[in-house]
Amino acid sequence: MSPVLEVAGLGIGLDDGTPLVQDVAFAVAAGEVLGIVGESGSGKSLTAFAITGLLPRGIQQTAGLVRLQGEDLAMLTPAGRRALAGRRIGMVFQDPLSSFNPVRTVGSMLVESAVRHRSIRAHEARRLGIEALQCVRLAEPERAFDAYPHELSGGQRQRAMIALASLNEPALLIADEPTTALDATVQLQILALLKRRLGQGALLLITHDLGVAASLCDRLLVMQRGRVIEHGEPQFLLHHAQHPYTRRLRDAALALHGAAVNA
Amino acid sequence: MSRSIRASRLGLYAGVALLAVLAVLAAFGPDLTGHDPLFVDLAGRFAAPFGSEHLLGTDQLGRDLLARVLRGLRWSLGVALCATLLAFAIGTTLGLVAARSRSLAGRIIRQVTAFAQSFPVFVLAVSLIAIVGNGFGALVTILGLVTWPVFCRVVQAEAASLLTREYVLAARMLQMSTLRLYTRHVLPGILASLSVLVPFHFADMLIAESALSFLGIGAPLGIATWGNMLQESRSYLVTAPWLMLVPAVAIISLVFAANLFGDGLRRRLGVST
Amino acid sequence: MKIKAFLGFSWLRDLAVLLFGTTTVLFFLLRLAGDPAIVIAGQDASDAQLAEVRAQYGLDRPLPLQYFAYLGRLLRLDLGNSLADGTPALEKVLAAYPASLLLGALAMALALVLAVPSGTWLAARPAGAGQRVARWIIFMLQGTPGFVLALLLVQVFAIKLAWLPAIGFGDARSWVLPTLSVASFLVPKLTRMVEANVGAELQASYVRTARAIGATEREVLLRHVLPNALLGLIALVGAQLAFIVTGLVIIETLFAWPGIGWLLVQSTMNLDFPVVQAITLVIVATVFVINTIAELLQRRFDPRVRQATARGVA
Repeated sequence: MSPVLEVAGLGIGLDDGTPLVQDVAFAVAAGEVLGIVGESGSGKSLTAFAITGLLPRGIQQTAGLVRLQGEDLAMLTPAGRRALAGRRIGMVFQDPLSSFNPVRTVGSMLVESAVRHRSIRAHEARRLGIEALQCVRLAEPERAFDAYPHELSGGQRQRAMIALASLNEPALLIADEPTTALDATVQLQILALLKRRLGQGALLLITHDLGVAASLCDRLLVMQRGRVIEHGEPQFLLHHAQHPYTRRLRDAALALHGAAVNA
Repeated sequence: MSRSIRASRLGLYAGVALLAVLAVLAAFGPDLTGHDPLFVDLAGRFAAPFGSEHLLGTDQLGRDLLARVLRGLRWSLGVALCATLLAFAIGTTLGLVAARSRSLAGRIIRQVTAFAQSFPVFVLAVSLIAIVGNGFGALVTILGLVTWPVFCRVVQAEAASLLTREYVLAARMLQMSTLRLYTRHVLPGILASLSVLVPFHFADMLIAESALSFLGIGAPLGIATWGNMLQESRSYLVTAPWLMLVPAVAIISLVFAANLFGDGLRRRLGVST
Repeated sequence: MKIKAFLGFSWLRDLAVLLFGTTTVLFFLLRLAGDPAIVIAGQDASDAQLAEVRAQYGLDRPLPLQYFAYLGRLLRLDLGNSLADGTPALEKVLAAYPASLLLGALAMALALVLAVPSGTWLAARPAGAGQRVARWIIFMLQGTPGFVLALLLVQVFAIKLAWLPAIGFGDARSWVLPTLSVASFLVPKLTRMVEANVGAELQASYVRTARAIGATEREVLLRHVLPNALLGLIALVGAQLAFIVTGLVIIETLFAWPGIGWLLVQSTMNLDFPVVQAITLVIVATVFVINTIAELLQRRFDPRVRQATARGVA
């Protein structure tokens, strides 16, 4: 079976040619969770943005191939690329407060996505949105649907964000530091939720926390200074890390989570 | 060096050069034209520019326009500069008081400053003219009195934030006198933002003065100022449009020079807004 | 940020303080400027007229008493009579008010119609070639005083082309040049404000979310960024209003438009002090009312402020 996402020789650089990410390659299969781990500035988030087509102004993909379900994304028009965003690729961001528009209700975002990608009417979209909020286990989904982002707690917002990202049952879900802004107890719930919402899709988890990655991922990629320096299964990396950088990430995670990582 | 820095330098130097030329013209120009700006020559009325011995032509009374526009330059520079300095002095002093004091005075200053931000102070200037009268001293006083909150707001905000910085707190703990504290630490810290305000304020004062004169309530009637010249030119827009164009171009270029200078200074000192 | 409780009527208190402060300043300035009887009655008044004015305004009494009497008259909305024709000053001002309101509203609308799209366009592609040129034009316009621009407009459209009337307040054709001229006081500044606000909002994280659910650049700007940017603009309405009112004073005089700006300049020239004072107070009140409306609008459309207020009142 062909992978959902296939990345080969990916390079990302500034407009003036300064390389930021070089030669990144990996594949994610359906139902699989791949983690990309690294410190900030390692290029892990840029990799995610390149796949989604959300690279900030002044930064562009300079080399490599990105295939989604066998389709080369470089061959798509900008409009074709947009048609993927929110439909076949869902994205969960780090800070759920600033990631929601402060003057729009949570529900209006769900409706916008549903109407755009499924060509359905607004009242159907509302039903769909409330269902999605139910699926992420938000108590009172109707209230959450009509709520403004500042009226929800951090955990509730991230659940709503996951509902938005997975609304159209995307083949690929990308979560960029989805738990960094949350309390430790809420973190585990959100990770469990991500895994549950995965369904038949693939999940790409971007994190600086090796412990978080190890608890959820089937395979890990370790990035430093724009390159993949190590990859393998989490348990293997935790116990037999070759690279001193990976060992440092592991020690940081151990200090943070204690025995939980080893368990 | 990036393009924007080079561009800002160019703007800064161009602004300085333009202002310097205009200042020299204001100082010596009126005497060099060989014409009295008030000399009436009814035989030589409405001479077109670049035609006769009058380089910029003559007005409805045959007065030399070049001499008049240069005399107006002297007046405009004088009023705008003095009004800016007055607003600067009042605004900075009151701003420093308001930055520190929790007293009633500080609160009143902050309240007045906040109010002035959304009040058309030009209206206030016009009303004050009804009370105080017009003329050089009155115009400078009125313009300075209604616009000092511009400086006060910036000084107050920046000084207040400086006073909570660690090195200033340390100096205060060492019992440094208030005067020394302000001259050694606070004033140098706010100098950049403060000096950027000056050229823009100067441009605003220039516009305000010529607008008041144009309305007939600024400069005393009869003397040569750009506002008065524009006011008089209105009756001859059809027959002698240069009567309007000469002072109009003069105002626009002086304001432009001040803005260019301010913009260059702002970028050079790295001050936002 | 502290948000004043609307239901607590504190805005009424603010207005009272504001009017009290303004009138007090005007009262004492008038005394400072010399003999108020001369200011009120005019330079050419005879001794008998001066005595009459002193008696009428109680100027022969001690200053504190005069002050309280003055406040008492203000409370009864008695702002004195116009020295030009003897009619009550406030009535005269209110008669001229609608013409100014019309011109101000037209100019504000035109300024918004021009500045919001162009500011958004400038912010959407800050480095574009067209944007660079536009930024230079705005810089030049900012350096052109409004009345100079108005004179140039008259020169071109009323005199050279003879399309539009040069002065007066008549049919809609006579509104065009004054509206354009008053708007020109605000458009360059407003464009820069919109550009700054939209530019700042485009950096916000929610823009990335909008793109992640497939919004086009146009949808990002119109549906996600602009509502936030315009909310920021409402907060600055006071500053915008100041430009419009300044424009009204100058442009009404230039076009002989019978509004309060024109009346203000006429009355200043005639040293008709009661009318000048009445106009100042009416403008203070107008600025205050519009600022309050802006605050209410902000509360209506910004869910964050709305909730904070609800909590503050309860």
